[in-house]
Amino acid sequence: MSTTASLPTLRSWDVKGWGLRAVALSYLAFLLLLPLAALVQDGFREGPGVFFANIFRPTAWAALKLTLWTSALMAAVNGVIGTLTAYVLVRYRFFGKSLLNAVVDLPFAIPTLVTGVMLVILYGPRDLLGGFFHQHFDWKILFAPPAIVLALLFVNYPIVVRSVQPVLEELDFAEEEAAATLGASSWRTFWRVVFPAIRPALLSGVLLSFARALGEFGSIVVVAGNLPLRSQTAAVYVWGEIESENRLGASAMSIVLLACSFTLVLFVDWLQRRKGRGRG
Amino acid sequence: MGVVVKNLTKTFQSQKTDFAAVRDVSFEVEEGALVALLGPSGSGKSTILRMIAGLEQPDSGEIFLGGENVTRLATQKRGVGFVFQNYALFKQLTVFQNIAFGLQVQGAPRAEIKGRVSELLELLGLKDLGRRYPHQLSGGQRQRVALARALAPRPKVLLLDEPFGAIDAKIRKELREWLRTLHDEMHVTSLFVTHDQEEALEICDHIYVMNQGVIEQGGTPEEIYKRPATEFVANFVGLMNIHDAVVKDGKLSIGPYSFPGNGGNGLAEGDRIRVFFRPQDIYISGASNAYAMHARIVRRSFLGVSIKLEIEAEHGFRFIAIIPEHVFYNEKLAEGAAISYQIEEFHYVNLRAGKGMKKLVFADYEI
Repeated sequence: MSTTASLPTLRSWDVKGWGLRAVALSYLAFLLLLPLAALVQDGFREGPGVFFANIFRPTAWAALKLTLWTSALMAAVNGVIGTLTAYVLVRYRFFGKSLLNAVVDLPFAIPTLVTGVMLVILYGPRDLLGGFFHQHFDWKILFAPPAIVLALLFVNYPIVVRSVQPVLEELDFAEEEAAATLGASSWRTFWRVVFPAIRPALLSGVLLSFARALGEFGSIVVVAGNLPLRSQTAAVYVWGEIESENRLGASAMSIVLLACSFTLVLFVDWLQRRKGRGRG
Repeated sequence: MGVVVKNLTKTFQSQKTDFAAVRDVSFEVEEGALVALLGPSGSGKSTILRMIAGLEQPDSGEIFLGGENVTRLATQKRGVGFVFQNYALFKQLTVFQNIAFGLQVQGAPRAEIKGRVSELLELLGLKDLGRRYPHQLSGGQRQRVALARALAPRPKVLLLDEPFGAIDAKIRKELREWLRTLHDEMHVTSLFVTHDQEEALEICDHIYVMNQGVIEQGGTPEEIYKRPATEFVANFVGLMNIHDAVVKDGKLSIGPYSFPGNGGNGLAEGDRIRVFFRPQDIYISGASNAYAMHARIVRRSFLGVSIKLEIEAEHGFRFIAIIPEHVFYNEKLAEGAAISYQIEEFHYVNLRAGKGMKKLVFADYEI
């Protein structure tokens, strides 16, 4: 790529360059690497055996499983709805489109704790929607896993929309028209022409929202009820361990969460770089 | 399987103004013909093409493909092949997959698809490119793939929207000739939109010249060129010399030429006339000729097959003449040289009466 070719290379006598580099790198080391190293060291301080014992403790293991399946469910729903929203925003003209476009980002602007409070107001067993589901379907939403999924859906809604939208905007509408002249239905056109083009962006959006969901705390702690083995997520579990002064348990679970997010982010990064190198 | 368009009208609404893109247009494309819609950008020619394909809905009017009224039919069911200006190839699919797309939609058996695609790849000189992706092709190759993709499902009509607009001049010329050859082999009824008059004149059987949403004239390339029906056509197709004149004392004067006002030309005193003559319809000779007019060459430009001369005659009458490069006296036609000339044919538009174009009658020859 020609963009990197124009970067200046540092010469040994370039004091300003070396100084800048030293400041940037030592800041990074102090702020990011040191805590990371401390966490990993702390989690494994009594050996891998104790580390795994801490992870496979029933409450810890249940919290991890709950976190993984609620996040995965959210990411899947988000992928479908996010793509749909992005498609509607890009391809159709309708009244209130610019308003909808602005509202999409709102979940990022609302403090997650406030999100939790809103859901409590709406889904409590005696409240508007919660009461309805409780009466007609005997569904318990608040203080149970469904509330966790709802909170995650709300908080992560913008991610897929905003990663798919720019790719759709760049997509030549004439390709879809060409498919129509060749007799393809709009469903077929979507799967054969549009979907392959947005697939990398969609995948990275889904994975990023999944990675973010693993650590979601603010909204969940309000709506989940946080019952160990039933509705306690990994992040809330870590908080509980710190509160009850079991730092080792907190560190071990944190390392697992960290490893998951880290792997996902690296994977997404790799996906995007591959996309950048590929078809122009 | 011809195309018939009746009273087609389309207005685009925007927040500020309504733009009448196509106004009550009717025309026909004969079965198996290659026909051009020629006009400047914004003349409505692409909109007509898109309405025939069903990509745009007309406000009123009807479209018939092979005798069937398709005005309300979905694009998918019209059986047209469409070639877009920017190719619109499926970027995520290979050349082979692009061409196979329409056949797969029809549910053709795999073996048949393979045969048809290979046949088209061969025919369009894309034999070894089947596995490539569109971004690995040159502009000319992409356009050929787009054409192959449109032809693969054997469309009733082929619609081409400025197909060579984005391609280099040289390759464009090749593609154009090659499209004509291809058309002569396949005989698929084709309607071709272009703003390039040279392109339309060279390869089409019939041309409709469009301007501001209406068809100004339809005819063979020769008819359009030799007998332009309106001022717009005269101006748009080929080079033209244009002079304005007024009928005064019963006479119309254009440079040294003088025409009778009403004798044969039916002009009234005071009529304002715009006169046209082709640079090729001027005979130039180096020798002084008693029967010809005299003038001087102001500028000479070499154009390859021809020479363009800017000429100034008496009364400040200036015009452009184009003569073949190989004429034997051409070395005498230097800048500043005195020459004789004769203009064979004048056409005119009476600016007061309307836009219809007529031929000026010379009084001397009439007697």
